[in-house]
This record gives sequence, C-alpha cells and structure tokens, in this order.
Amino acid sequence: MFEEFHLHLFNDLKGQWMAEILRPVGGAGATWPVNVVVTRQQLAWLRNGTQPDAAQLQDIGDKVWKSLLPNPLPQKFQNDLANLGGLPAGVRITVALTGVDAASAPANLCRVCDLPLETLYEAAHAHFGSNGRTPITRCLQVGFDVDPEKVAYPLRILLAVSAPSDLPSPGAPGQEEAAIRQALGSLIDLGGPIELTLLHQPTRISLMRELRKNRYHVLHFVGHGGFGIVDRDPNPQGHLLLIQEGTENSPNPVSDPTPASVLLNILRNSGVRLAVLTACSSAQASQDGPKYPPAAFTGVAQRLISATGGVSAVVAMQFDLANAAAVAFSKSFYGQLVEYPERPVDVIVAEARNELSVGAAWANTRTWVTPAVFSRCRGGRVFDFQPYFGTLSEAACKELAVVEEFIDILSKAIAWIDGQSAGSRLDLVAERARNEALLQAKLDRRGELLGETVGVRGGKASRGSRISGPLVLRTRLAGAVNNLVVKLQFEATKLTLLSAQPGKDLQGGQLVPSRAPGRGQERLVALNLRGGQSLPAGEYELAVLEWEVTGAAPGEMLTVIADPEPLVRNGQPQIVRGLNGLVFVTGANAIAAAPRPAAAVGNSATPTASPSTPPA
Amino acid sequence: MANGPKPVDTVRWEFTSAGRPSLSVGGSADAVLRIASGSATDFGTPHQVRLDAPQQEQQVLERMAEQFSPFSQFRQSARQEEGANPTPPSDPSLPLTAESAREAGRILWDRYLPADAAASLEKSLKAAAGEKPVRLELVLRTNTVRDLPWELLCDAGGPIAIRPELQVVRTVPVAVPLPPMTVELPLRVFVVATNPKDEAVLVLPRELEAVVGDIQNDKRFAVVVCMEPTLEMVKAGMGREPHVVHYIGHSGVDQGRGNVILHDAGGRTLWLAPDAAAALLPATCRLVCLSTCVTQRNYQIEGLMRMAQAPAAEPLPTIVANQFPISWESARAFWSTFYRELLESDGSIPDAVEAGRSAVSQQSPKAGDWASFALVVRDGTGKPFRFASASQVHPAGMAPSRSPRQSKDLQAQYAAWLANEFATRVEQMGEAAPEELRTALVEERSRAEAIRRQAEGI
Repeated sequence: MFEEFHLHLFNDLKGQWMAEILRPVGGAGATWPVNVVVTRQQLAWLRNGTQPDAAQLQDIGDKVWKSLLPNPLPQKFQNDLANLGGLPAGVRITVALTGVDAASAPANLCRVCDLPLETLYEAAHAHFGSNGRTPITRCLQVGFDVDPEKVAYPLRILLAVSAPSDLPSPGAPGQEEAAIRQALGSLIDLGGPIELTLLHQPTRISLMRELRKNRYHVLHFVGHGGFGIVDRDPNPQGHLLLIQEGTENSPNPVSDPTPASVLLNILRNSGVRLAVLTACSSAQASQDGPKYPPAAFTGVAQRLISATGGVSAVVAMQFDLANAAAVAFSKSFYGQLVEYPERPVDVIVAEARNELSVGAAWANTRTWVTPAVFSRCRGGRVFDFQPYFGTLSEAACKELAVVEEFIDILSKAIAWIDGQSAGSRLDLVAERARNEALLQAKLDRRGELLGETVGVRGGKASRGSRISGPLVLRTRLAGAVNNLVVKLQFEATKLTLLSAQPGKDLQGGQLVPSRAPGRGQERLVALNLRGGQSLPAGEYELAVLEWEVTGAAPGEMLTVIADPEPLVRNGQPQIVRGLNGLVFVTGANAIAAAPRPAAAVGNSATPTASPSTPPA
Repeated sequence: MANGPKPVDTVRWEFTSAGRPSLSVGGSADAVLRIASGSATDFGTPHQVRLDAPQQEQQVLERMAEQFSPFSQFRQSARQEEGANPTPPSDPSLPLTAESAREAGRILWDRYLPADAAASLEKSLKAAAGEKPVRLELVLRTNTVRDLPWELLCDAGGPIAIRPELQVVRTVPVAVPLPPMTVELPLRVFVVATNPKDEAVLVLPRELEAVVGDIQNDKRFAVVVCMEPTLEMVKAGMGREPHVVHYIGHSGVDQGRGNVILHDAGGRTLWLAPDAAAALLPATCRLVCLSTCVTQRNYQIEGLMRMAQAPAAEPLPTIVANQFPISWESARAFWSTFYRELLESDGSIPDAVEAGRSAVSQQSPKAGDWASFALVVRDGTGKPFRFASASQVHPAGMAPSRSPRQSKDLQAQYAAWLANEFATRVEQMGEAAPEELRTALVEERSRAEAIRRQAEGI
C-alpha cells in the first residue's frame, strides 16, 4: 500500500493557477499560487529532440519541484520521503490538473499543462519519476473513481500497428510487435493467460469494428502521433496517425491523422481499460505558440482519460520517442505486467523509465522522461486478475479446498434431515432452508473458482410441479468455440426433462436435443455458438431446461449430472468440467412452513453423494 | 418420578499417541497420558506411558490374551470349542472369574498407569468425600489403548468400576455436547435380535428374556422386537422413532472397524459398519445398546466395542456394549437394573451403567462379568434424555406428535451435530485448518448454544 501525496492544480476565479494538497489529509486547506519557473526553452529542449544532458535534466526537474511544491513541505510528506525505504511500498505522487492555462501566460515560461512532471527532481532523492517507490501519476480530476477491472484470464491485448507509407516507418517492420511477443513469451501461446491479437494498418473503422467485435482489455498502438490541426478543426489537437480508409491493403497505405476526440469515440464503451500509446506526442497537452491557446482535453491521452466509458488509464508519450526506445519500453512494460500482476501501472512505468535511464543507448538523454501515466484507477491498479483455470493460483486452490469442505459438511447436514421422519423434517424445515442457502452459495463459489465449466442450475420443486433452470457455460479463456455437447443424466423415475429451449446467449446458434425419453439421459448439442464468432471469457446461458418432478419424495435431493464433452476452442480440444444441478424436492407443508432462503434457486455443482447420517 | 442424575466430580484421563510414526512398523510405542480434573482443558503435565507395541493390531489382542488370564481363559475355551464341539452349549460356562478380573485389573493399574494417575483419582475421591461419585472419563485416542479392558482397573482396594463412589466411562469427545431430548414416556425401545442362518444359531427367546424380560410388561417402556432384521425391516422399525435401539447378537471386525450383523434377504449374515449403522438411526435414537449373545459364542465379540468406540466422525449416539462374554444371568441382572435406573436417574446413562454393574457384581460375586459392560459416552454428557410425563396416551410403540419443547430439542440437537461436524474437520486438519472453517465452527457453536437455551426456556 502506497502512501499518497496528491497535489491538486486548479484555477482561481481570476484564472490563475493555484495549488493545494489533498493528501495526506491534514495538508489540505492551504492553497498557494503556482509560479512556474521552467522555461519554454527548456521544454523545447525536451520536445524538439535537443537532448539535454543529465545536469540540464536535473535543473528542469528541480524547477518543476520549485514550481509546484510548497516550502516547507508538509510534514507527513517529508517524513515519508525521509523514510522511503522503510515504507511498505513507497509514496505515490499524483498531480491532478483541473484548470486551463490562460492565453495570457508569460511567453517565456512553460505552461502548467506542459510541465514535464516526470522529471521531478530533488537533490536528496534524485528524479522521482524513474523510481518505482515514488511513481508519478497524472489525472484530470480530483481523486480516483475507477476500481480495478476484474479480469479472468486471458488478458486480451489488441496490438494495432500503423505504418503509413507517407511517413517514416516506425521502426523496422514488426520490430515492436516482436519485442512485445518476446516479452510475453509463452504466455501468449494458445490457451495461455494472455491473448495478443495483431491489427495491422488500422483504419478508424477497422479499429472500431475490431474493438466492438472482440472485447479487449488493452489497446496498444504502435505508430506515429502528433499535435496539430486535423480534420478541418481549426483548434490543434493531439492525434494518432491511423491509415486512410481504403488504402490499408494497398502497397502504399496513406496516413490518416485521427484526432483525440475521434479516438475517444472509437474507444468509448469498447471495454478497453488500458491504452498504451507508443506514439510521439500522444501525451502532449498543447501546441506551442501564442496563437494556439491551450484548451482542456485536447491531448490524446488527456481526451481518452477524460470521459466516462472511456479507458481507465493511458500510458502515452509526451515527446518524441525513438523506435528502439519504444521497443525497449514495451518489452519492460509487458514483462512486468505478466511477472507482477499486482503491480500498479504507474510503478510499472516508473520501473520501465528506470530501465531506459540506465540503458546504454539512452543514458543521459531525456528518453526515460517521455512516458507519462494518466489514470483514474484507485490504487493505481487497472486490472484485478482472477485465478487462471490452467494453473489455479495457490490462494485459489486453498479456497477451493475450503469450499469443498463446506459443501461436504452442508450436503451431509441436509441429507441428515432428509433421512428423518416426516415429523422431524417438519421441525427442521427452517434449519434445512438455512443450510440449503449456504450450500448454494458455496456451490456457486466453487463454480467461479473452477472456471471452465458447464453447469445445470437446479432449484426447489414439489412433486408434480415444474421447475426451469439454465444450462450455463462459463469460460475463462476467450476464443472461437463452435459447438458444445453436454450429456445430462438423471433419475428418469423421479425427474422428467420436458423441454430444452435455446438460451439468451446462444445468439445465432442452434440447440439440438437428442431425446431419449424415460431413460434419464439427454444429449444436448449447442451448435454454432454466437454464430461462430469468438467467445470472450464470461458466463453464457446456452439453454433453458424445464423439468418436472415426477416420482421423488419430499426432502429428496435429486442430482442432474452434467457431463460435457471437451470443447474445441481455436481448433484445440479443451477439457471442461461439469457442475451438476441439484433439485431439492419439497413437500407442500414444508413449502408453506419454510422461509425462503436468500438464494432459492442456484447452481449447480456436484455435492458428493453423502449417506444419510444421523447424529448421536 | 425420577430421582434425577447424581452430581459428579470428573477426572479425565486422556491417552494420545506419543507421536511415533506408526505402531505397525514394530518396536515399542509410547502413549501420552494427560490428566485433568473438573475441566477438560485443565490438563497437567503429560505422562509418558510405555505400552507393548506389537506389529499388528491383532497381535495386541493376542498379547493381551497372554497377559490377562481372563482373555487367555476365554480364548483357550473358544479354541477348544471350535475344534471339538461345533454345536454350542445353550448356556456357555462363565469365562471370567472375579479372581481373574482382579488379576487383570492389577496388571493394568500397576503396569500402565503412572503414579500421578492414581494420585489424581485418590485426590478427587477425597475431595468428593463420599458425598458424590467421581466420574473417571477415559478418552482413548489410539487403538492400542482403546482395546484394553480399562473397566477391570483394580487398585489395592479392589476393582474401581464397581465402587459406589466411582463411575468409569469411556468418552469419544465432542466439541458441542448434545442437549438432552425431552421424552414423554413410554420410552420406545427397538430390539434388533439377529440370528442369521450361517452363524452359530442363538436361542432367541432366552436372549430376549435376558435383555427385555423385565421391561416388556412395564408400561413405562414400549418394546418392539425385530426378529428378522433385514435392512428393510430395521429401517421400518426406525420409522417408529425409537429412543433406544438394543442390538442382540454376533459381531465382527472388518478392516479394523466393528460391525454388527443383520440378515440379508436369504436370512444369512449382512455386516453393518459404523457409518451404515449411523445412517439408519433416527434423530430420536439417543442410546444404542450392543449386547453380546449369551446362548452362543459371539463370532467376534471385539466388533461390539470397536463399533462403540468408532471415531467421532461417525455420528453414533452413546453406546453401552459388551467387551467380553457374560452369562445369561449376568445379562439379565444388568439390563433389568440398567433400564429401571435409566428412568430413576432421569436419563443418566453412567448412573444406569453403574447400577447395572453393581447388580451383576452382587448377583454373580464370583464372576467378573460386571466389567464386560462398557459405556462409551458420545454425546458429551451421557445424559441424552429428560423424561416428562405423557401429555396424552399414545398407541404403544408409535411416535406421538411433538410438543414445542421437543421440536426445539430436535433443532438444538441438529445444531449441535452440525457444529460437531465442523469441529471434527478442524480437529482432523489440526494446525492446517483454514480460518474460514474455524470461524464457521465458532459461529455454529454459538448458534447451537443459543438454540439450546431457547429450548430450555420453553
């Protein structure tokens, strides 16, 4: 857990920049004017590729410090910095910009929105931005409002590589893609925890369609970026250079400067939570020159992070970035993302900056300063990775063992009641309902932990009555799944399957039941799931089954065994576990007397058949 | 109607494994004896107890047979019968004399008990000053000590289990004691008398006479006898919700577990293991009596005690069982006294067993049969019943509708049972038990306690 130092920069009523400390609590309340001392010349060194030396970088960072931070520093912040090595994680420095630079800002000084915060320097601690214990995050609002996205593996990354022929190639063809693949190693093999999809020469439409068709967690754009007037809008905007429509398959694809506002529309509601833009100027906030007064959210990263339904975090480049540096950055970034899934994104970037700062090729250059992090995520974590089916984490295995114990005990407890006389069962009806609800919750949890499952949901029914419940496929791996075959087995003398209707998630597919009346066996074939489209990880209702309880006695617990055949995903067979359905048979009296449990109808899974075991 | 149970002081001797890898690998093995007075958690310094450790469990019994003359006597007699006379005598001769019982008891006392054990017992007896009995609870957590006939324990003053100031009981501990069940008389006793064709045939009328001869015509008891105990017949009998199930017949040991023997469809033997037996019993059955046959040599009498001492994971009720053969007269004396005292003591099984042993001792002073009757308390208290006057007349042997108090009793019993299920898992896992299970145990335990208090408040 990081200590927080949250600095808020805002405009007062006169449009002047002011600063206040929101965290640590106690530092709030006092405000002071921001007096920028970083010069426009210094910013130009950074922007124009005039490589400042180490001393110049320190000077810039020192001036950023002096421009923003109060003197004296809040005591808590001082203490945290003094005891940095003793803190559990470190101090996260967050700078929230909620104001706009005035058009009348001094021409010789850097605008606040352009301040290279990542250079922040103080003699006792050196540069903060390349230290994983003092990560720097930018945000455009006060506080963080997005919780980490729960992601069941695989993490799906769309790698969009744009290499228009009318601009210099962003490195050797496929170089950055190869670096990312190398960083991810075997994790992107078929069935692995990361799925990397390449979209070559993306146009506005093809990018949007791809993002809509298959839900991705991460968009990584490799290509050019810039800041200027595009799309007949007189106001300069940050933009990425996609490929002009219709030229993507030609030998000479033409660049299409796609402004930040359009990029937001492409990404909004796509499900992408993290955008990584290894494109020049993708984090630039304003255009140089007095005739272009800055406006809010005109940079690409700033625009993408600003809207609800947009991405939760953006890693972008505030200056030019050499191709080789982009490759090295990507390699470091994804290597950490895989190796340290708990690591916040700003820490990952800080560590990647550090790697760039010590690499021989870029040491003593401003290359490492270039990546910037914009985030709305609480705790800096974009993703909360869920257990992976192929290799359940140790924690998941432990929890599964505990859940199994509960299921065993509660199944036994219910069976004990069911073994009693009618009178005793009536006395224990409330106890049974309570334990039934507890059992259902544990069964559901087991299904969640196991991941790749096909389960039948049961419920309560009295003899002679009907009950319906879905057949559910839960997947932890995305991919093209065409057909699914499930064999259902049940006691035909006690339970009859009346019908099997296509579920709401079959979407264009077909359900073909193979009836075997009276035999207690049913073979269901779900054909052409989702019309053959790729199936993202998630839970899908494939069928709705209607049952009639025909011959069971009140108190009996009937089991519908779900026995799925291996499903073929991306051409590879994969074992899927079956979670059996339970039908609790109630008597009319019992129903009348029983309080309904919280989860009257639930999953599903196999309670190990326990003998009816009366107690002492 | 009843005098109520006697107040008692308790001394607990808990024998556990000393942590040796396994008895089956040979060599000597130790047990650890912990002694507690009054409270189960109040254990003093553990004592190392040296036990002979044969390679196989069966050899433990063989060694016992050599060490203890009563066993030796019995086994020799049994072997002779096997070879010489396949037709059993209708009334087998007494296998255990009082003298042999005393000798075996002295060996147990002198050889296996540290001086502290005797001292702790003596101290408790002095503290009780004869005003109330001291209950010696034996918690036997290893097979080696479980198979020893502790009821024979004999100090310089004679066998301790038949002294009025002492009650010797074995205990299979439970985390949450099961609350007593309110019973409106008559007490329903379901007698399962087995006599399979392929085993030494019993004289059933004599067997029944020994066990229920005195209570059959007592209106305080509703006795139903099942003479052809197939599984279906026994299940049907359990549907009457008996309070006591009394088994008479042969037993056996299979895979180390005690089995009782029912009939299959063809009238031949059908072995019933502890888990299957537990599954048959209704919630109302809070006492099981396992009587060895007295008109024929038991096929393998060790099976009765093995079943009685099955691990706590098998939810059997408190059990009274025979651990070695007895005479017909001793059986009759014990059970008639036992059932009468059960009502007199308001459902206290230790009091009833104590009275039964005394009766046997007085009835057959030259025999050691009183020590055959072992009590294994499995419900935490040994008092599974609380008797109430009948609020209405019920057809004999049929379960009446329940009063609110009885309904709540049942719920309290169930809640305690569930808490004990969690406790068993936690105990089995030891330190590795996950926090969620421990938390669930605490919750279920307090819930069981709350329901028990509600029941008592009715």
